[in-house]
Amino acid sequence: MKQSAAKPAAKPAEKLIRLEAAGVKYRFMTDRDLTLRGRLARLGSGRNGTSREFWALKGLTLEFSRGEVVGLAGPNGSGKSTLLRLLAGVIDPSEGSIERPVRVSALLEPTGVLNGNLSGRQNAFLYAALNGLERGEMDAALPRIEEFAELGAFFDVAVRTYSSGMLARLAFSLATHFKPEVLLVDELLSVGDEHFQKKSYFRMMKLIEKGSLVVVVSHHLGFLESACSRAVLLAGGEVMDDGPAARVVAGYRKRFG
Amino acid sequence: MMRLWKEVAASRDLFIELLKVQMDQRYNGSALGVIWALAMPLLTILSFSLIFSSLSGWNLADYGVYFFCGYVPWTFFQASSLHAAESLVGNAFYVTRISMPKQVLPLVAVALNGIDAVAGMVILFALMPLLGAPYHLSMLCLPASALLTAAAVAGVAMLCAQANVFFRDFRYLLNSALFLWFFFSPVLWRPDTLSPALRPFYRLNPAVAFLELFQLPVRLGILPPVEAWLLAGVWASALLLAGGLTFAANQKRFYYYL
Repeated sequence: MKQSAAKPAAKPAEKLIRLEAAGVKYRFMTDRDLTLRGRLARLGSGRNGTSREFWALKGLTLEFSRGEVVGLAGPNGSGKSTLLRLLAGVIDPSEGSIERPVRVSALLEPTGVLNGNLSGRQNAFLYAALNGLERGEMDAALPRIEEFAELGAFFDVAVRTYSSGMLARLAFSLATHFKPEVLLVDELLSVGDEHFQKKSYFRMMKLIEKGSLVVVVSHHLGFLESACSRAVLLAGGEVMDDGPAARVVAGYRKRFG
Repeated sequence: MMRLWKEVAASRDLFIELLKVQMDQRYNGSALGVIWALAMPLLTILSFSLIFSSLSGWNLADYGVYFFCGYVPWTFFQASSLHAAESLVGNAFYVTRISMPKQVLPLVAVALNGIDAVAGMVILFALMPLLGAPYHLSMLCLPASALLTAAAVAGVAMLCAQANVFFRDFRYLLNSALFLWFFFSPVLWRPDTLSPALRPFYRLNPAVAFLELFQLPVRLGILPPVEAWLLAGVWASALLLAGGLTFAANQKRFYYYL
Protein backbone atom coordinates (compact mmCIF):
# COMPACT_ATOMS: atom_id res chain seq x y z
CA MET A 1 0.00 0.00 0.00
CA LYS A 2 1.21 3.47 -0.85
CA GLN A 3 1.96 5.41 2.32
CA SER A 4 1.92 9.20 2.12
CA ALA A 5 4.44 9.62 -0.61
CA ALA A 6 6.16 12.96 -0.05
CA LYS A 7 5.14 15.60 -2.52
CA PRO A 8 7.73 16.46 -5.15
CA ALA A 9 9.94 19.04 -3.48
CA ALA A 10 10.30 21.04 -6.67
CA LYS A 11 9.02 24.36 -5.33
CA PRO A 12 8.77 24.49 -1.57
CA ALA A 13 5.56 26.40 -0.90
CA GLU A 14 4.86 28.02 2.43
CA LYS A 15 3.20 25.66 4.86
CA LEU A 16 -0.09 26.97 6.21
CA ILE A 17 -1.29 24.08 8.33
CA ARG A 18 0.76 21.42 10.00
CA LEU A 19 -0.64 18.43 11.85
CA GLU A 20 1.72 16.40 13.99
CA ALA A 21 0.53 12.92 15.04
CA ALA A 22 -2.88 14.46 15.69
CA GLY A 23 -5.78 12.37 16.93
CA VAL A 24 -9.36 13.15 17.88
CA LYS A 25 -11.15 11.00 20.38
CA TYR A 26 -14.89 10.84 20.85
CA ARG A 27 -16.40 9.19 23.85
CA PHE A 28 -19.70 7.44 23.57
CA MET A 29 -21.80 6.21 26.40
CA THR A 30 -23.85 3.27 25.32
CA ASP A 31 -26.74 4.36 27.45
CA ARG A 32 -25.83 7.97 27.12
CA ASP A 33 -28.20 10.14 29.01
CA LEU A 34 -27.22 13.77 29.23
CA THR A 35 -29.30 14.51 32.28
CA LEU A 36 -28.43 14.91 35.90
CA ARG A 37 -31.36 12.65 36.76
CA GLY A 38 -30.09 9.95 34.43
CA ARG A 39 -26.59 10.11 35.78
CA LEU A 40 -27.80 9.96 39.38
CA ALA A 41 -30.03 7.00 38.57
CA ARG A 42 -27.06 5.23 37.03
CA LEU A 43 -25.01 5.93 40.14
CA GLY A 44 -27.81 4.60 42.31
CA SER A 45 -28.18 1.40 40.36
CA GLY A 46 -24.44 0.83 40.51
CA ARG A 47 -24.37 0.54 36.74
CA ASN A 48 -21.59 2.62 35.38
CA GLY A 49 -22.60 3.95 32.01
CA THR A 50 -20.34 1.90 29.81
CA SER A 51 -18.44 4.46 27.86
CA ARG A 52 -16.68 3.52 24.70
CA GLU A 53 -13.87 5.48 23.23
CA PHE A 54 -13.62 6.04 19.56
CA TRP A 55 -10.77 7.59 17.70
CA ALA A 56 -12.29 9.51 14.82
CA LEU A 57 -8.78 10.46 13.71
CA LYS A 58 -5.57 8.78 14.70
CA GLY A 59 -1.92 9.68 14.19
CA LEU A 60 -2.41 12.23 11.44
CA THR A 61 0.75 13.90 10.24
CA LEU A 62 -0.11 16.16 7.36
CA GLU A 63 1.01 19.43 5.90
CA PHE A 64 -0.97 21.82 3.76
CA SER A 65 0.68 24.58 1.76
CA ARG A 66 -0.32 27.74 -0.03
CA GLY A 67 -1.73 27.33 -3.51
CA GLU A 68 -2.93 23.78 -2.97
CA VAL A 69 -6.42 22.42 -3.59
CA VAL A 70 -6.60 19.36 -1.43
CA GLY A 71 -9.48 16.93 -1.77
CA LEU A 72 -10.42 14.79 1.22
CA ALA A 73 -11.83 11.44 0.13
CA GLY A 74 -12.95 8.40 2.01
CA PRO A 75 -16.02 6.35 2.81
CA ASN A 76 -18.68 7.60 5.25
CA GLY A 77 -17.38 7.75 8.79
CA SER A 78 -13.75 7.81 7.77
CA GLY A 79 -13.07 11.07 9.60
CA LYS A 80 -13.28 13.61 6.76
CA SER A 81 -15.64 15.97 8.52
CA THR A 82 -13.78 15.63 11.81
CA LEU A 83 -10.57 16.56 10.01
CA LEU A 84 -12.27 19.59 8.52
CA ARG A 85 -13.45 20.64 11.99
CA LEU A 86 -9.94 20.21 13.29
CA LEU A 87 -8.57 22.40 10.49
CA ALA A 88 -11.30 24.96 11.17
CA GLY A 89 -10.40 25.15 14.85
CA VAL A 90 -13.83 24.06 16.03
CA ILE A 91 -12.15 21.21 17.91
CA ASP A 92 -8.65 20.71 19.17
CA PRO A 93 -6.74 17.45 18.79
CA SER A 94 -7.05 15.08 21.76
CA GLU A 95 -3.42 14.14 21.17
CA GLY A 96 -0.68 15.48 18.94
CA SER A 97 -0.69 19.06 17.74
CA ILE A 98 -1.89 21.38 15.03
CA GLU A 99 -0.59 24.70 13.77
CA ARG A 100 -3.09 26.75 11.86
CA PRO A 101 -3.56 30.38 10.86
CA VAL A 102 -6.12 32.43 12.73
CA ARG A 103 -8.31 33.41 9.82
CA VAL A 104 -9.80 30.31 8.32
CA SER A 105 -13.01 30.45 6.36
CA ALA A 106 -14.96 27.27 6.89
CA LEU A 107 -18.09 25.97 5.22
CA LEU A 108 -18.58 22.88 7.30
CA GLU A 109 -21.77 22.31 5.48
CA PRO A 110 -22.92 23.72 2.17
CA THR A 111 -25.20 26.24 3.83
CA GLY A 112 -22.67 27.51 6.33
CA VAL A 113 -24.00 29.09 9.53
CA LEU A 114 -26.88 31.11 8.15
CA ASN A 115 -29.64 32.10 10.56
CA GLY A 116 -33.01 31.25 9.05
CA ASN A 117 -34.87 34.14 10.64
CA LEU A 118 -32.56 36.78 9.25
CA SER A 119 -32.41 38.13 5.74
CA GLY A 120 -29.43 37.58 3.49
CA ARG A 121 -28.20 41.06 4.29
CA GLN A 122 -28.55 40.63 8.06
CA ASN A 123 -26.84 37.26 7.80
CA ALA A 124 -23.92 38.93 6.06
CA PHE A 125 -23.38 41.18 9.07
CA LEU A 126 -23.76 38.32 11.50
CA TYR A 127 -21.27 36.33 9.42
CA ALA A 128 -18.79 39.19 9.59
CA ALA A 129 -19.15 39.42 13.36
CA LEU A 130 -18.88 35.66 13.88
CA ASN A 131 -15.70 35.57 11.84
CA GLY A 132 -14.09 38.53 13.54
CA LEU A 133 -14.17 40.86 10.55
CA GLU A 134 -14.15 44.59 11.10
CA ARG A 135 -17.53 46.26 10.95
CA GLY A 136 -16.52 48.50 8.05
CA GLU A 137 -15.20 45.60 5.99
CA MET A 138 -18.66 44.16 5.51
CA ASP A 139 -20.20 47.54 4.74
CA ALA A 140 -17.73 47.96 1.91
CA ALA A 141 -18.02 44.40 0.65
CA LEU A 142 -21.77 44.01 0.76
CA PRO A 143 -22.62 45.22 -2.76
CA ARG A 144 -20.16 42.79 -4.33
CA ILE A 145 -21.32 39.90 -2.17
CA GLU A 146 -24.90 40.64 -3.14
CA GLU A 147 -23.91 40.74 -6.77
CA PHE A 148 -21.95 37.50 -6.66
CA ALA A 149 -24.70 35.55 -4.87
CA GLU A 150 -27.23 36.62 -7.54
CA LEU A 151 -30.19 36.34 -5.20
CA GLY A 152 -31.98 39.41 -6.50
CA ALA A 153 -34.74 40.64 -4.24
CA PHE A 154 -34.35 37.56 -2.05
CA PHE A 155 -31.25 39.12 -0.52
CA ASP A 156 -33.60 41.04 1.78
CA VAL A 157 -35.90 38.13 2.56
CA ALA A 158 -35.56 35.74 5.52
CA VAL A 159 -33.11 33.02 4.63
CA ARG A 160 -35.49 30.23 5.74
CA THR A 161 -37.44 30.79 2.54
CA TYR A 162 -34.37 30.04 0.39
CA SER A 163 -33.86 26.83 -1.56
CA SER A 164 -30.75 24.84 -0.71
CA GLY A 165 -29.06 26.13 -3.83
CA MET A 166 -29.76 29.71 -2.84
CA LEU A 167 -28.43 29.08 0.67
CA ALA A 168 -25.27 27.63 -0.82
CA ARG A 169 -24.86 30.66 -3.06
CA LEU A 170 -25.04 33.06 -0.15
CA ALA A 171 -22.82 30.94 2.09
CA PHE A 172 -20.18 30.52 -0.58
CA SER A 173 -20.21 34.20 -1.49
CA LEU A 174 -19.66 35.12 2.15
CA ALA A 175 -17.01 32.49 2.78
CA THR A 176 -14.88 33.41 -0.20
CA HIS A 177 -15.27 37.15 -0.46
CA PHE A 178 -12.64 38.15 2.05
CA LYS A 179 -9.85 36.17 0.38
CA PRO A 180 -9.31 33.75 3.26
CA GLU A 181 -5.88 32.19 3.61
CA VAL A 182 -7.58 28.88 4.10
CA LEU A 183 -10.96 27.87 2.71
CA LEU A 184 -12.54 24.68 3.98
CA VAL A 185 -15.53 23.34 2.09
CA ASP A 186 -17.73 20.32 2.75
CA GLU A 187 -19.58 19.12 -0.35
CA LEU A 188 -20.30 22.57 -1.62
CA LEU A 189 -20.37 22.30 -5.35
CA SER A 190 -22.97 19.56 -5.26
CA VAL A 191 -25.76 22.00 -4.43
CA GLY A 192 -25.68 25.03 -6.70
CA ASP A 193 -26.84 24.95 -10.31
CA GLU A 194 -24.32 24.53 -13.10
CA HIS A 195 -23.95 28.24 -13.65
CA PHE A 196 -23.09 28.87 -10.03
CA GLN A 197 -20.90 25.78 -9.81
CA LYS A 198 -18.75 27.19 -12.59
CA LYS A 199 -18.67 30.58 -10.97
CA SER A 200 -17.62 29.16 -7.61
CA TYR A 201 -15.02 27.00 -9.29
CA PHE A 202 -13.44 30.07 -10.92
CA ARG A 203 -13.50 31.94 -7.66
CA MET A 204 -11.80 29.03 -5.95
CA MET A 205 -9.11 28.98 -8.60
CA LYS A 206 -8.58 32.70 -8.17
CA LEU A 207 -8.10 32.22 -4.44
CA ILE A 208 -5.46 29.60 -5.13
CA GLU A 209 -3.61 31.86 -7.53
CA LYS A 210 -3.50 34.45 -4.78
CA GLY A 211 -1.86 31.86 -2.56
CA SER A 212 -4.76 30.52 -0.52
CA LEU A 213 -5.16 26.92 0.49
CA VAL A 214 -8.43 25.16 -0.29
CA VAL A 215 -9.45 21.90 1.35
CA VAL A 216 -12.56 20.22 -0.03
CA VAL A 217 -14.45 17.19 1.21
CA SER A 218 -16.30 15.42 -1.55
CA HIS A 219 -17.75 12.09 -2.50
CA HIS A 220 -17.76 13.24 -6.05
CA LEU A 221 -14.64 11.49 -7.29
CA GLY A 222 -14.78 13.10 -10.72
CA PHE A 223 -14.72 16.51 -9.08
CA LEU A 224 -11.78 15.57 -6.88
CA GLU A 225 -9.87 14.31 -9.90
CA SER A 226 -10.48 17.38 -12.00
CA ALA A 227 -10.39 20.18 -9.44
CA CYS A 228 -7.83 19.11 -6.87
CA SER A 229 -4.05 19.16 -7.14
CA ARG A 230 -3.73 16.71 -4.30
CA ALA A 231 -5.98 14.27 -2.50
CA VAL A 232 -5.87 12.65 0.91
CA LEU A 233 -7.66 9.35 1.34
CA LEU A 234 -8.93 8.66 4.82
CA ALA A 235 -10.26 5.37 6.14
CA GLY A 236 -10.97 4.49 9.74
CA GLY A 237 -9.55 7.83 10.85
CA GLU A 238 -6.14 7.22 9.33
CA VAL A 239 -4.43 8.45 6.19
CA MET A 240 -4.42 5.63 3.64
CA ASP A 241 -2.98 7.63 0.79
CA ASP A 242 -1.80 11.15 0.12
CA GLY A 243 -0.60 12.39 -3.22
CA PRO A 244 -1.64 13.55 -6.69
CA ALA A 245 -5.43 13.55 -6.91
CA ALA A 246 -5.63 11.25 -9.95
CA ARG A 247 -3.54 8.55 -8.31
CA VAL A 248 -5.31 8.72 -4.95
CA VAL A 249 -8.74 8.62 -6.57
CA ALA A 250 -7.73 5.63 -8.67
CA GLY A 251 -6.60 3.87 -5.52
CA TYR A 252 -9.86 4.77 -3.79
CA ARG A 253 -11.90 3.31 -6.64
CA LYS A 254 -9.90 0.09 -6.44
CA ARG A 255 -10.32 -0.27 -2.68
CA PHE A 256 -13.88 0.85 -2.13
CA GLY A 257 -15.40 1.20 -5.57
CA MET B 1 -9.25 33.69 32.40
CA MET B 2 -7.38 36.74 31.13
CA ARG B 3 -7.54 35.31 27.63
CA LEU B 4 -11.24 34.81 28.06
CA TRP B 5 -11.64 38.47 28.91
CA LYS B 6 -9.40 39.63 26.06
CA GLU B 7 -11.48 37.60 23.65
CA VAL B 8 -14.63 39.25 24.94
CA ALA B 9 -13.11 42.67 24.51
CA ALA B 10 -11.97 41.79 21.00
CA SER B 11 -15.35 40.45 19.99
CA ARG B 12 -17.32 43.56 20.76
CA ASP B 13 -18.79 43.55 17.25
CA LEU B 14 -19.95 39.95 17.63
CA PHE B 15 -21.51 40.81 20.97
CA ILE B 16 -23.43 43.74 19.53
CA GLU B 17 -24.49 41.83 16.43
CA LEU B 18 -25.82 38.88 18.47
CA LEU B 19 -27.57 41.26 20.83
CA LYS B 20 -29.21 43.00 17.88
CA VAL B 21 -30.36 39.68 16.42
CA GLN B 22 -31.82 38.56 19.76
CA MET B 23 -33.50 41.88 20.45
CA ASP B 24 -34.97 41.80 17.01
CA GLN B 25 -36.38 38.37 17.66
CA ARG B 26 -37.66 39.21 21.12
CA TYR B 27 -39.33 42.50 20.33
CA ASN B 28 -40.09 41.54 16.77
CA GLY B 29 -38.91 44.95 15.67
CA SER B 30 -42.08 46.67 16.82
CA ALA B 31 -42.84 49.20 19.47
CA LEU B 32 -45.67 46.98 20.68
CA GLY B 33 -43.15 44.19 21.21
CA VAL B 34 -41.43 46.26 23.88
CA ILE B 35 -44.76 46.84 25.58
CA TRP B 36 -45.41 43.10 25.70
CA ALA B 37 -42.00 42.51 27.21
CA LEU B 38 -42.75 45.02 29.99
CA ALA B 39 -46.45 44.28 30.48
CA MET B 40 -45.93 40.97 32.26
CA PRO B 41 -43.56 42.23 34.98
CA LEU B 42 -45.71 45.33 35.50
CA LEU B 43 -48.83 43.24 35.97
CA THR B 44 -46.95 40.98 38.34
CA ILE B 45 -45.79 43.94 40.38
CA LEU B 46 -49.26 45.44 40.47
CA SER B 47 -51.06 42.27 41.52
CA PHE B 48 -48.42 41.21 44.06
CA SER B 49 -48.46 44.69 45.56
CA LEU B 50 -52.23 44.63 45.89
CA ILE B 51 -52.32 41.19 47.47
CA PHE B 52 -49.33 41.39 49.77
CA SER B 53 -49.83 44.93 50.99
CA SER B 54 -53.37 44.07 52.08
CA LEU B 55 -52.13 40.83 53.67
CA SER B 56 -49.40 42.59 55.63
CA GLY B 57 -51.36 45.75 56.31
CA TRP B 58 -48.53 47.71 54.76
CA ASN B 59 -49.31 50.90 52.87
CA LEU B 60 -49.82 50.07 49.20
CA ALA B 61 -47.64 52.78 47.69
CA ASP B 62 -44.74 52.12 50.04
CA TYR B 63 -45.02 48.37 49.52
CA GLY B 64 -45.19 48.86 45.77
CA VAL B 65 -41.95 50.85 45.69
CA TYR B 66 -40.22 48.34 47.95
CA PHE B 67 -41.35 45.35 45.93
CA PHE B 68 -40.62 47.03 42.59
CA CYS B 69 -37.03 47.97 43.39
CA GLY B 70 -36.26 44.44 44.54
CA TYR B 71 -38.21 42.65 41.86
CA VAL B 72 -36.38 44.33 38.94
CA PRO B 73 -32.88 43.16 39.95
CA TRP B 74 -34.29 39.77 40.95
CA THR B 75 -35.94 39.32 37.56
CA PHE B 76 -32.71 40.39 35.91
CA PHE B 77 -30.88 37.65 37.78
CA GLN B 78 -33.55 35.02 37.23
CA ALA B 79 -34.17 35.67 33.54
CA SER B 80 -30.46 36.00 32.76
CA SER B 81 -29.65 32.67 34.41
CA LEU B 82 -32.42 30.81 32.59
CA HIS B 83 -31.64 32.50 29.33
CA ALA B 84 -27.91 31.83 29.71
CA ALA B 85 -28.57 28.18 30.50
CA GLU B 86 -30.06 27.89 27.04
CA SER B 87 -27.43 29.99 25.33
CA LEU B 88 -24.86 27.35 24.44
CA VAL B 89 -27.30 24.51 23.82
CA GLY B 90 -29.63 26.74 21.83
CA ASN B 91 -26.76 28.03 19.70
CA ALA B 92 -25.11 24.63 19.27
CA PHE B 93 -25.45 25.29 15.56
CA TYR B 94 -22.78 27.98 15.79
CA VAL B 95 -20.67 26.43 18.50
CA THR B 96 -20.15 23.21 16.54
CA ARG B 97 -19.50 24.87 13.20
CA ILE B 98 -17.22 27.80 13.73
CA SER B 99 -14.40 28.67 16.04
CA MET B 100 -15.82 31.57 18.01
CA PRO B 101 -15.44 33.02 21.51
CA LYS B 102 -18.21 31.00 23.14
CA GLN B 103 -18.38 33.04 26.34
CA VAL B 104 -20.04 35.78 24.31
CA LEU B 105 -23.26 33.73 24.18
CA PRO B 106 -24.15 33.70 27.92
CA LEU B 107 -22.94 37.29 28.21
CA VAL B 108 -25.34 38.36 25.46
CA ALA B 109 -28.14 36.76 27.48
CA VAL B 110 -27.14 38.90 30.46
CA ALA B 111 -27.01 42.06 28.37
CA LEU B 112 -30.38 41.37 26.82
CA ASN B 113 -32.04 41.04 30.22
CA GLY B 114 -30.01 43.97 31.48
CA ILE B 115 -31.79 46.16 28.97
CA ASP B 116 -35.13 44.99 30.36
CA ALA B 117 -33.94 45.72 33.88
CA VAL B 118 -32.87 49.24 33.01
CA ALA B 119 -36.25 49.82 31.36
CA GLY B 120 -37.90 48.47 34.53
CA MET B 121 -35.96 50.88 36.73
CA VAL B 122 -36.88 53.80 34.49
CA ILE B 123 -40.55 52.88 34.86
CA LEU B 124 -40.11 52.71 38.62
CA PHE B 125 -38.62 56.21 38.66
CA ALA B 126 -41.51 57.46 36.55
CA LEU B 127 -44.04 55.90 38.91
CA MET B 128 -42.45 57.10 42.15
CA PRO B 129 -43.96 60.62 42.13
CA LEU B 130 -47.37 59.12 41.38
CA LEU B 131 -47.00 56.85 44.41
CA GLY B 132 -45.95 59.77 46.55
CA ALA B 133 -42.46 58.39 47.02
CA PRO B 134 -39.70 61.00 47.11
CA TYR B 135 -36.52 60.78 45.10
CA HIS B 136 -33.44 60.42 47.29
CA LEU B 137 -29.91 61.65 46.70
CA SER B 138 -28.71 58.19 47.70
CA MET B 139 -30.29 56.80 44.53
CA LEU B 140 -27.28 58.14 42.68
CA CYS B 141 -25.43 55.02 43.84
CA LEU B 142 -27.73 52.77 41.81
CA PRO B 143 -25.42 52.55 38.77
CA ALA B 144 -22.78 51.07 41.07
CA SER B 145 -25.38 48.66 42.50
CA ALA B 146 -26.34 47.65 38.97
CA LEU B 147 -22.72 47.14 37.92
CA LEU B 148 -21.94 44.86 40.86
CA THR B 149 -25.14 42.90 40.27
CA ALA B 150 -24.37 42.55 36.57
CA ALA B 151 -20.89 41.22 37.37
CA ALA B 152 -22.34 38.59 39.69
CA VAL B 153 -25.06 37.66 37.20
CA ALA B 154 -22.46 37.33 34.43
CA GLY B 155 -20.58 34.82 36.58
CA VAL B 156 -23.73 32.85 37.31
CA ALA B 157 -24.68 33.00 33.62
CA MET B 158 -21.40 31.39 32.58
CA LEU B 159 -21.88 28.67 35.19
CA CYS B 160 -25.46 27.97 34.08
CA ALA B 161 -24.53 27.86 30.41
CA GLN B 162 -21.91 25.18 31.06
CA ALA B 163 -24.07 23.19 33.42
CA ASN B 164 -26.81 22.89 30.84
CA VAL B 165 -24.34 21.60 28.25
CA PHE B 166 -23.31 18.73 30.49
CA PHE B 167 -26.73 18.13 32.09
CA ARG B 168 -29.62 18.91 29.82
CA ASP B 169 -32.17 18.87 32.62
CA PHE B 170 -30.24 21.51 34.54
CA ARG B 171 -32.52 24.21 33.20
CA TYR B 172 -35.61 22.69 34.79
CA LEU B 173 -33.81 22.21 38.05
CA LEU B 174 -32.65 25.82 37.90
CA ASN B 175 -36.16 27.01 37.21
CA SER B 176 -37.51 25.30 40.33
CA ALA B 177 -34.57 26.41 42.44
CA LEU B 178 -35.02 30.02 41.39
CA PHE B 179 -38.73 29.86 42.16
CA LEU B 180 -38.04 28.69 45.72
CA TRP B 181 -35.11 31.03 46.17
CA PHE B 182 -37.34 33.95 45.30
CA PHE B 183 -39.52 33.32 48.33
CA PHE B 184 -36.50 32.95 50.59
CA SER B 185 -35.14 36.29 49.44
CA PRO B 186 -36.38 39.63 50.77
CA VAL B 187 -38.27 40.81 47.71
CA LEU B 188 -41.88 40.24 48.80
CA TRP B 189 -41.17 40.60 52.49
CA ARG B 190 -39.08 43.00 54.53
CA PRO B 191 -36.07 41.66 56.44
CA ASP B 192 -37.03 43.51 59.63
CA THR B 193 -40.18 41.41 59.87
CA LEU B 194 -37.99 38.32 60.23
CA SER B 195 -37.84 36.69 63.66
CA PRO B 196 -34.51 37.47 65.40
CA ALA B 197 -33.61 33.78 65.50
CA LEU B 198 -33.46 33.66 61.71
CA ARG B 199 -31.50 36.89 61.17
CA PRO B 200 -27.98 35.38 61.13
CA PHE B 201 -28.95 32.77 58.52
CA TYR B 202 -30.70 35.30 56.39
CA ARG B 203 -27.38 36.99 55.65
CA LEU B 204 -26.04 33.79 54.11
CA ASN B 205 -28.30 34.27 51.11
CA PRO B 206 -26.13 35.98 48.49
CA ALA B 207 -29.20 37.60 46.92
CA VAL B 208 -29.60 39.69 50.08
CA ALA B 209 -26.31 41.47 49.51
CA PHE B 210 -27.41 42.67 46.10
CA LEU B 211 -31.05 43.44 46.88
CA GLU B 212 -29.96 45.75 49.70
CA LEU B 213 -27.98 47.85 47.25
CA PHE B 214 -31.27 48.72 45.55
CA GLN B 215 -33.78 48.67 48.40
CA LEU B 216 -31.92 50.86 50.89
CA PRO B 217 -31.34 53.84 48.59
CA VAL B 218 -34.70 53.71 46.79
CA ARG B 219 -37.11 53.12 49.64
CA LEU B 220 -35.32 54.53 52.67
CA GLY B 221 -32.96 56.99 51.03
CA ILE B 222 -30.01 55.42 52.84
CA LEU B 223 -26.66 54.87 51.23
CA PRO B 224 -25.84 51.16 51.74
CA PRO B 225 -23.14 50.73 54.42
CA VAL B 226 -19.59 49.83 53.47
CA GLU B 227 -20.12 46.25 54.67
CA ALA B 228 -22.96 45.84 52.19
CA TRP B 229 -20.78 46.98 49.30
CA LEU B 230 -17.95 44.76 50.43
CA LEU B 231 -20.18 41.72 50.77
CA ALA B 232 -21.68 42.26 47.32
CA GLY B 233 -18.20 42.89 45.91
CA VAL B 234 -16.88 39.64 47.34
CA TRP B 235 -19.83 37.66 45.99
CA ALA B 236 -19.56 39.31 42.59
CA SER B 237 -15.84 38.66 42.22
CA ALA B 238 -16.17 35.10 43.48
CA LEU B 239 -19.00 34.30 41.05
CA LEU B 240 -17.31 36.01 38.13
CA LEU B 241 -14.09 34.18 38.86
CA ALA B 242 -15.84 30.83 39.28
CA GLY B 243 -17.81 31.30 36.07
CA GLY B 244 -14.84 32.52 34.06
CA LEU B 245 -12.34 29.94 35.27
CA THR B 246 -14.64 26.95 34.78
CA PHE B 247 -15.70 28.26 31.39
CA ALA B 248 -12.07 28.60 30.29
CA ALA B 249 -11.34 25.09 31.51
CA ASN B 250 -14.39 23.44 29.98
CA GLN B 251 -14.96 25.23 26.69
CA LYS B 252 -12.94 22.74 24.65
CA ARG B 253 -15.27 19.98 25.80
CA PHE B 254 -18.55 21.66 24.82
CA TYR B 255 -18.31 20.40 21.25
CA TYR B 256 -18.52 16.78 22.34
CA TYR B 257 -21.72 17.35 24.32
CA LEU B 258 -23.57 19.54 21.84
